[in-house]
Amino acid sequence: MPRLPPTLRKKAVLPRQSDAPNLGETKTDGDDHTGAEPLTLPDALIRMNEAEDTLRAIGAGEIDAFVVTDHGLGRRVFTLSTADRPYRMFVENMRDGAATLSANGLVLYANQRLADLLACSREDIIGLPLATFVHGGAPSGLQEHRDRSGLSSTIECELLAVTGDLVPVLVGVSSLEVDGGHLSCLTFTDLSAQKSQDREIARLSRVQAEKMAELEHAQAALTEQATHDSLTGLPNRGLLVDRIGQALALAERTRRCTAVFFIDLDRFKQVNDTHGHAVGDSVLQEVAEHLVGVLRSADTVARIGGDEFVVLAHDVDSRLHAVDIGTRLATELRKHSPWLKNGEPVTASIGIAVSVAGRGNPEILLEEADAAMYQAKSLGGARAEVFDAALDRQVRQRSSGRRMLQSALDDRRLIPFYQPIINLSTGRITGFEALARIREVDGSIVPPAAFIAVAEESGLVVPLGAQVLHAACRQAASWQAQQPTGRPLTVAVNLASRQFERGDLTSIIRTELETTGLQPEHLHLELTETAIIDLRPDMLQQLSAIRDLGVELGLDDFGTGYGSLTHLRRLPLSFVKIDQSFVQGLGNGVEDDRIVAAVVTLAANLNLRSIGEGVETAEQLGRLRELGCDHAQGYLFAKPMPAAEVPAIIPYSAF
Amino acid sequence: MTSANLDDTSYELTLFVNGASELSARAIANVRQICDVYLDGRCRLVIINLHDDPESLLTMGILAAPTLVKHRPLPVRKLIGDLSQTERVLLALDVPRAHPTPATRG
Repeated sequence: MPRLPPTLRKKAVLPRQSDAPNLGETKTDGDDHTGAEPLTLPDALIRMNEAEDTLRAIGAGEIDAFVVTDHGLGRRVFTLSTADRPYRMFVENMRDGAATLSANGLVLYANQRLADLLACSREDIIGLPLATFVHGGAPSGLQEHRDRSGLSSTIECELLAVTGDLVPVLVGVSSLEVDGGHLSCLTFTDLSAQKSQDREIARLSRVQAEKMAELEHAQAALTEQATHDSLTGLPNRGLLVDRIGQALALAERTRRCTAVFFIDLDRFKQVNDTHGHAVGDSVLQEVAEHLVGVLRSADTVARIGGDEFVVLAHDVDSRLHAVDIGTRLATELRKHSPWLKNGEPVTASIGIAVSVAGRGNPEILLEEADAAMYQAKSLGGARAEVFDAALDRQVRQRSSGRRMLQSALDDRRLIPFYQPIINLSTGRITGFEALARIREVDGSIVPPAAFIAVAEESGLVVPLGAQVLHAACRQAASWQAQQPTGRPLTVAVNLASRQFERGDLTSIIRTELETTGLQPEHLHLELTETAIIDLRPDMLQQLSAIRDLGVELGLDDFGTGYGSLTHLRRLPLSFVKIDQSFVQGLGNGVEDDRIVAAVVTLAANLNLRSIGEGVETAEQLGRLRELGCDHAQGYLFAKPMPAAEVPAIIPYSAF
Repeated sequence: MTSANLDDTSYELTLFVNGASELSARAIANVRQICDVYLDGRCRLVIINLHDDPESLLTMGILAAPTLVKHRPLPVRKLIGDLSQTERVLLALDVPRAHPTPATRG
């Protein structure tokens, strides 16, 4: 431990503070003076030494602050501008804006970053109230804060740049008491990036929400589509069935009646044909509106088909009440039908079905109402008919027929029988007509009369026709394979008009020919006159396309329908079949003789083969031969037979 | 330990500085070095920012910054400047000139 030199030791015992200005060289004078009075000479010297030392330090650049006593204001510190350089560097270069405000809110200092945020220079800011640069004026937090020195807090606000842009910032505020006044020191953190990120997140979640809404909307639209008719906005069949179900369930408790009104516009097809579909559609829309207008709001109006509407009425008193409502509906529709420009009223046939105390089910009620509607239509239309016991029997038959047919189609129990067609000049079998039969599960055969009408009406004739076509083509191809030397046998298949509706008939036929290998010219297709009664252009096109495949077309039951002779010319036909009613009249008088003669002559002149149907007696056969008919078929030759029996009769084909 | 002992063994110093200025930083570094090298760590050093403690400016009669005040050992003595002239500082602190540093030992 170093000992202090004696000279300094001596100083160390001086009772009062003293300074040693010229420390290096001179250990001067006056240091040994011990006076306590402030203004003694040594004291003054000490002061002077201190002053000298200060001057020296100033000269050497070793001082950056001075403390001055001002009796009015207390002590104040003055610092050299270089002294706060580190602070300034820090404040100048920081990434946040910074400013100090006077007590009255004027900007005393601003860093470059703040000027950048405000898109101006610092000179544009200093001396102005900060409120000038804050959107919506100075934040209130700033003012409150000024009164509570020493605390710091943060406020979010938006700076208003001179460009007019708004810059979101987080303002850090701290307060400083200087010389009895308050200074506010502010930092400004730019929140633009964060805000835009927030906005982006908000936007994304909004987009997501919109997408969800869109999805929900689409789902709702799908539901709407699935349950409503697009033309009229009315419930469709599916929704109607639901509603009838609900109504029946309710009626079971209330013991009231539920009525279903099946409304079909009369001759609506003609409206479409004559006035066009646009007019037809607007008629449907008007009917829809009108029905909704007349009915109680609790009732349901549905559109379940082209011109078919159904009204469901809850809480009906009785069957009589239902008839009353139905009649009123028919009258209302007749009265308010100024729809057609030619003044022709659009009327409706209405079928009524009533369920008492919820008995039955929706499908049965609809079937009953449908049957009653047909009844109204057959009585001339523009009326309401109620379903009764007689109709009930018809409906039961029809629906059991439909079930039987459907299950036969499903189980592939539909099998064609074949009836030979004889060339009257050679006496040989030239081919067969395929005729649909159903084989019951017990093996018995159901005649066509039991299901053809049901098939036509229900549309099941389309799959039925396709199955017969397929079986017949395959069968004919197989016979031809078995009899390679003889003249190839043809097969004739009946077409129903509904088979043309889907527009795919030509391709179905082409496929059958390709898959079975049957030559097109050996397939004959027969149309009834009624099938072509309203021959549409598209049907004629399909027939031409079928003819172009090489398939021969013929007109069945000629003379029974309403078809005019022009059909014979317009259609790409190869043969006509003379209806059996004429053939069977042969020999019973001159009339049928003349008709058959005329048809045969007409066919010959048009270059069509004539085929007599339903030949049962030798006399009829003789007459056909005499009249020059080309072919014939009938019980006289053979009844329709299962395919298995055909090979046996082919060799005996000379009659 | 008596106060006489303290006088012999310890230095009590106060350095007044002007915030975080460069001169302040230099003065702080210099006084720390002197404490470590010449006073063998027998030193209690207080650093005061003159902006923070206006009261002590008054009691100590501080006129400028940086200023080093030696309270003990007595006599109290003030040294104005950034303390970069080590010789002068050592004299003012009554540290014998000849003492430890090899450089100053002739």
